[in-house]
Amino acid sequence: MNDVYDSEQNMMAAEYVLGTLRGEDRTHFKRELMNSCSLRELTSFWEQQLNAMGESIAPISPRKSVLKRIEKRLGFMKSANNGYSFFLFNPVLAYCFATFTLALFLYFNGNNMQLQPYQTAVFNYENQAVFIVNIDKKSMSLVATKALPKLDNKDYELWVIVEGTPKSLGVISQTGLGNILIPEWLQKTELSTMAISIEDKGGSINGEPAEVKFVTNTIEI
Amino acid sequence: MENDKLELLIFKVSHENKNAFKELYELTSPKLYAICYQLVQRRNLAEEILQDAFIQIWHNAGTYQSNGGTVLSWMISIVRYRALDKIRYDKVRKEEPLSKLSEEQETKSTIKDYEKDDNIERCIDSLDFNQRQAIHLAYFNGYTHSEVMYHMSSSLGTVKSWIRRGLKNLERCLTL
Repeated sequence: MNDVYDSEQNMMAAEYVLGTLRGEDRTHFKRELMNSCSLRELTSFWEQQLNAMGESIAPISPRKSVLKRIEKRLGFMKSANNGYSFFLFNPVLAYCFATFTLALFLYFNGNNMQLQPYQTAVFNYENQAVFIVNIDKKSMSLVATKALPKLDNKDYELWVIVEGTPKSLGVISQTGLGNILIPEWLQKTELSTMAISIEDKGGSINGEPAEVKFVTNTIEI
Repeated sequence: MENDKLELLIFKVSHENKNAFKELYELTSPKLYAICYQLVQRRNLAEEILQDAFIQIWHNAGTYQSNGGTVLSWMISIVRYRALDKIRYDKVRKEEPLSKLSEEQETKSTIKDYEKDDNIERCIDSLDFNQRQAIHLAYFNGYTHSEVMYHMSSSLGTVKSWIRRGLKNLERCLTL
């Protein structure tokens, strides 16, 4: 009786690995697998044997974008020139980062900033613009769109990441913000990244973003 | 592909070494993608499954045990089970049923590199044609018994028998 049972278990393990064990039988087998050491050993045996067939398959290289997408999902992607490490472990960013685009090009001429008026947008993960950004001379303004989620008893706050450290540019009202003067210390920055966080009313209490909601690509200032 | 090298990489990946992860990806993704693509026959879906699999590999690298087989075999299991689940739950299927001709071509193409593993080759070769063909269609194409039946123009009972007998013969041969 035991031999018959063992043989049946063995064949179920083989068919599970092969892929022909389907439906409720497969679901039941998966459950059993959690509880039975001997079943796991049988399954492991068949994986080793049958996957040797898989190892012999002629390789096909996936598109290069696949690795980039994996790295983005794992939060590996960051600017080559600054290490905004606090972003890397923020789960919200994992998907926001993938779809968010903002490039601001500000041009300098000696000590006098010569900005070319520029308009761009901040997008959410559904590719909807949540802020329209206008850059003009030494200031920038953000105007919220209807796609921006309205927050109760919370504020949005704008941040710029300089040498890995987030620095606040101020709280943004939920209808957008008037002009923000670009501070001098920021004007000296070659490369940076901007982010918008959700904060308690009045903005961050400790000088660090609480929950980063949107983040830009690297911007040139 | 040297298992020693992959074992070292998977060890490093289990300690969150991103460079090792990238190297592991570069070394193994062509094989894994080929397996995936063969199963689902759609590039975007195969890429999506590959992404999911590598994310799982990153998170579960510490669970790999060398006495449970090679690293590549462990990774193949992750990819295949994901693909099979996708086929099953999303009802993903090839849009066009394969003709007898393309079935033969597919089987040929999947086994053309087969001589690299002498043991499995010897044992697979020891199976009769129908058993071998049925196991190939299930393993590489993710076919159900019914789909194998359709492609081999046989009855369901016969196909189930071919697969079971084929697996038993394979086990007997591999453990000799």
